[in-house]
Order: sequence, then structure tokens, then C-alpha cells
Amino acid sequence: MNLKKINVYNQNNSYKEYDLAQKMTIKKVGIPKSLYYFFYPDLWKTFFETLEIEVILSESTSRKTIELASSVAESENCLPIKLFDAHILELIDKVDVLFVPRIISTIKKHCSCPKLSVLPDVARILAPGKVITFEINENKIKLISSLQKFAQELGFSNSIAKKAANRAVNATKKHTEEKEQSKKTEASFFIVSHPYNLYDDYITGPVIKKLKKMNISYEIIEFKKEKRKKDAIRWDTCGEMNDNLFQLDPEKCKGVIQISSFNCGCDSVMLETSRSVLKEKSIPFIVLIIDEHSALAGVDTRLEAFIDSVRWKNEQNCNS
Amino acid sequence: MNKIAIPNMGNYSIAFAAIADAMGATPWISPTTPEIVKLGYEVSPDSLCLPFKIFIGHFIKAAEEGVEYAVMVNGNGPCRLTYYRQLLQKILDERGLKMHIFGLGDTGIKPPIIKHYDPPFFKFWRGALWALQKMFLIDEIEKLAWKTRPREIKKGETSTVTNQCLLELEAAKTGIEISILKSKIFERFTAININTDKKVLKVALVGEASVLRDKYLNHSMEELLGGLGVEVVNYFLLGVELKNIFFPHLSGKHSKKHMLEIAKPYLQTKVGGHALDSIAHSIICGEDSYDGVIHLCPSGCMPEISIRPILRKVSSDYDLPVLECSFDEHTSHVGLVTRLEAYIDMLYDRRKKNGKEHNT
Repeated sequence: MNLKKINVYNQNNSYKEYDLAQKMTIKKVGIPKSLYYFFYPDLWKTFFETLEIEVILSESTSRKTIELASSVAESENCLPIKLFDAHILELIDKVDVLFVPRIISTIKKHCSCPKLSVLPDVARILAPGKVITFEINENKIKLISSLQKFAQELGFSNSIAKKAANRAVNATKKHTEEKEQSKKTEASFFIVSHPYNLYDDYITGPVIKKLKKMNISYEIIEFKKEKRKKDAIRWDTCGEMNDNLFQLDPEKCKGVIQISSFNCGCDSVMLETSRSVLKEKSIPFIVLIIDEHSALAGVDTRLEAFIDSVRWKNEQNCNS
Repeated sequence: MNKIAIPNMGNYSIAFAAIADAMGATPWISPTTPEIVKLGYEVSPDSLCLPFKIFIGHFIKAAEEGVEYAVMVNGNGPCRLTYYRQLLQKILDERGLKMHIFGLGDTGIKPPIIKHYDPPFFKFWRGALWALQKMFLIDEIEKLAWKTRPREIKKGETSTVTNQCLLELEAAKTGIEISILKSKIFERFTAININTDKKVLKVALVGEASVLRDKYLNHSMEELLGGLGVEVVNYFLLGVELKNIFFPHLSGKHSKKHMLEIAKPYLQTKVGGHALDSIAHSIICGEDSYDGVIHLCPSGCMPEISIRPILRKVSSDYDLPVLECSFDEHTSHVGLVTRLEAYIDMLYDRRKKNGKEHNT
């Protein structure tokens, strides 16, 4: 079949072609502070800095980002994906290239949300000819090897590529270890969500602020991206969230707060599972659904009510 | 009781019924009705997609009528379909309904459903062959109907003929009967009085399978568009789909590999569900100078929603108007008809403006 010659952006549609024409001109790479930035903390920054490419992060999510997102993004998508579009738009003029990986799977024998597997294709529409990408697919190839291959394709020598990949992966490991060490020992409430909701201050911020105000110890769950035992859950982040819930001790944990974005496909199935896991352990559970119209007052009221009801439950248990 | 419930798949239900028959089971099939939709959305989690709600509706209705088995497709991709069988089973169990759901696909050479019924080898394969014959014939009937409906002089004649053919096909029991019917069908459609000079628009339907196929869910979109003088091409043909799974090298233009190639400038991964097909088919439509494409999906469908920005790019690059329709249980018929009419009016205007001659 002959493709019609029209204004299809064939010329610059992948990093390979970008690379051939302007190999050494990549001086500034832009990374949107959403989705994969939170999946692999520190990894991308270390990787590109080792390759001596300046990294420019987009600004943290704010009211402005959300307003931009709701005006440009596909209306039926979930909030994190909408925010991604806004972050990309914010970066476009400041950088040479934008880095957007294709995330197929972050844990072996699992898969990611399908919305993450089309990210580079969507980003390419917003920023034609500016997107560099590679595939994260732990089912086929380990992250460290695919990173190395990616660096080589960007035009770096074998040894530099290896160094960058190693450093980058170690940086993430270090980050997770440090976080684990600094964990508070006695937490009574757990906050559960996908990493891109959980570590985004604008989304989790109001919840944490409220908990702090009420003097309640809380803990945010961790994503280790290690091999999981085989079960029915094939989505990677959902599986890890579920594992975290399984490990909770009903005597110490007083309640679980799950933050879910409106229209999240994975959560629509998995919330039932979470609910039944926690029901068995008889741990109180609340789901806060957020979207771009979420009002802070609403979150406050719901959290207060939830925590009050947990307190009453505990008092009743003590009295009886 | 040897009844088995099969979810509605539009006209293809006839073929599924035939294959259940070959296994020695009595098929339970019902058209989707408001009652089934209501049963469905009452018990299912709020944000799940429409096909799930319809499936559970059908199964509950069947279980209440005493059917003990049901069958549905297993998914294994990133789409939510992967979890649906377990979730459906759980909901049925919680409600105290005794029904076992068999999954099709991904379960080895002898899937549990065949183990359960254990039909005699010869009888089963003969029946399966006839079912396949029926399925291809349904494809034929539909293709003829798409072509005839916009050009018919007496409104509604095509639909009558189509329904008559489908009824007879349902009643046909042996291969010979099906072959006889096959020879008659073409004559019947050519007997319909048509206006050969009428210039009709050509619009393709792409998107998610169950919305494309269940006539209740898409509000009989094929008939609606046909009535507005539009030749429809529905890109979900089960014959093509099965070829794709079992004989990928035979399916040519429609094989996944070929579609990846076509879609490459826009989309470089399979995504899941029928998302890649939607993009590839839209590109094909753009090249074949169709007048428009209608993208149908259940509201919140993960793969189809994620490719919408790409679909928009395809639309602007190929100068191909794309209408996006999301369906859920609250979709109003009148609202949909208004949108379709406006869209079709716009397509006519475009054609006038461009002076584009259409080769049909």
C-alpha cells in the first residue's frame, strides 16, 4: 500500500531519525514531572546527567497546570494523563528534546496501564519532532540493558552508556533504601495509590496536610518493583499496592486511605479487590476520588469524618 | 439442565448458538433489553465499562431463569477484560446465583468448556464447521445490507430482507441448508429496488467490538446511518477477527502485523483491545477517501480512550472527519440521532464544497 504524501510528520517521528540529523545538538532534555518521573525517582536525572545532558524538569503540578490540562487534554482520560499533557506543553519551548519512554511493563510477567504504552505517540502530537523515546519492557529486556541500549542509540560510546545505565539504576535503589530507613516506625494510617498520584504533592498534599493537622501518624506505601509471586493481578502497580495491603497488620493499622483518580481503569477493577482484602482484616477503608475539579474542602470533610468514625470504632472496642 | 448463556454479540449470536448446539448444549441468548441493562448496572462497580455491565446483566437474567453455565471471552492483555471473568463470577457468587462462567482462549488445546461437555469428536467438528459457515454468511449478509440500505427506494425493505435471511439462517441446521440459503441471499438483495444514481456517503465504524456489534448498545447505528443515506462499513467482522487469531498469514491487510505497519507513523505499539485496529482502519479509510469515520467506544474504555488524541491527528492529517461517540447506560437515543444527523449534514456540505466525486 502506498502511503499518500501528505503532511504526516514522518521526518522526525523517532529518536533514531532525530539522532542521525542532529546527533550532538541535544544539550537540554526535558522531563515532565509526572507519571514515569515518579515511577523511577532519581533515575532519569542521573542517567542524563551522566551523559552530560542538562535535565530540565517541568514545574511541580499546580493549579495552573491543572487548568491547562483540562483545556488541552482528552476529556475522558484520568487526571495523571491529563496532567502529563500539560507538563509537556510547559516544557516544549525550553528544551531541545523531550524524553518520553514507552512503558509496557515495569515488573516481569506483568503489564502497565495501556494509557502508558501510548505516551510517546501522544507526546509526539503535542511536540512534533522533539520526542526521544525507548521502551521499558521488563518482560523482554531488563531496564538496565534497555537504558544502555538507549544511550548507545543516542550516540554515546559503549562504556559511557554502561556507566550511565548503572549509575541511574543505582540512584533509584539508593532513593528507595533511604526512604525505607527514614520510615517512621509507628504509623496508624496508610495512604495507598499509584506512584504518580502518591508522590505528586498537588494530589496527595491536601491529604497529608490534613493528617498532619490532626496529629495523625501516616505512612505512604513504597513501590519496590521486585518480582512478585504469581497471582491473578497482571497490572504492575496495582499488584504492588495489593501486596502492600496484604502485609498490613490489623492491630497496628487503623485505617487505609486510597487516592484514586476519576475514570482510572485499573482502579475501577482493583478497588473491589482492595476492599475485600481489607474487609477480611477488618481495617477501615476510604477511597478519595480526585479529578481536576476536586475541591480541597471536600477532601478535608471526608477525611475528618473517616478519622472520627475510626476513633469511635476504637473507643467502642475499648469499652466493650 | 444443559443450557448455556451466551452474551449478545449482535448478529453473530446465531453462529455462537450453532457452536453451542454442536457441543450438545442448548444456547440461551437474549437481545439486550433495558431490563438487562438495569440488572447490570445495579450490581456492577460504578466506573467499569459498559460491556461488563451488559455481560453481568445477561448472566443474571439467565441465572434467574435457571441456566447454570455461561461462556465469555478471556482477555490476556492490559485491557480490563482480563479480569472480567473472575469479577463476574464473584458478583454472581455473592448474589447466591449458581452459575459457572467458562472462559474462551488461552487455556490450552482442550479448554475447560469442551472438557465439561465432551462432545463426540466428529459431531462437534462438523457442527463447528457449520457454525463457521454461518458466521461467514452473516458477514456476507451484512456487507450486502450496508451497500443496499442507503440506496433503497422503499424505506425499510433492506432491514426486512436482512432479518428474514438471518431468521432462516438461524433455523438452518445442516451444511446443505446453509449452502442453499447462501445461493438465495444474493438474489434477494438484488431484488430490492434501488436508486443507482443516488450519490451516497461512505462512513466507516471503528472502535470497540461489543459496542460495534450489539445493536442495542449502539442504538442500531448501521440502520440509522443507512436511513440517512450513508453506506456503512463496520470494521469489526468476526470472520476477519478469527482469521487474525488462527491464521494470521491469511488475513493479509487485516493482520496485526500489517496494521502495525500502517499505523507506524502514528502508533508504534499494539496498546490492547482493538485500539491499534481503530487507528489502522482510520488510516486505511483516509487513503481510500472515505467521507468520515465514527469511533465508537464504551465510555472510559482504557485502550480506545488512550488513542483518541492520535485519532484526532490522523483525522487532521488525512482531512477525514472523525466523530467520537462514547456510550454508557445513560446514552440517550435522541441525543445520538441529533449528533449523527449534524455530522452527516456536515459531510454532505463538505462534499458539495470540495466537489469531490465519489467512486462507490
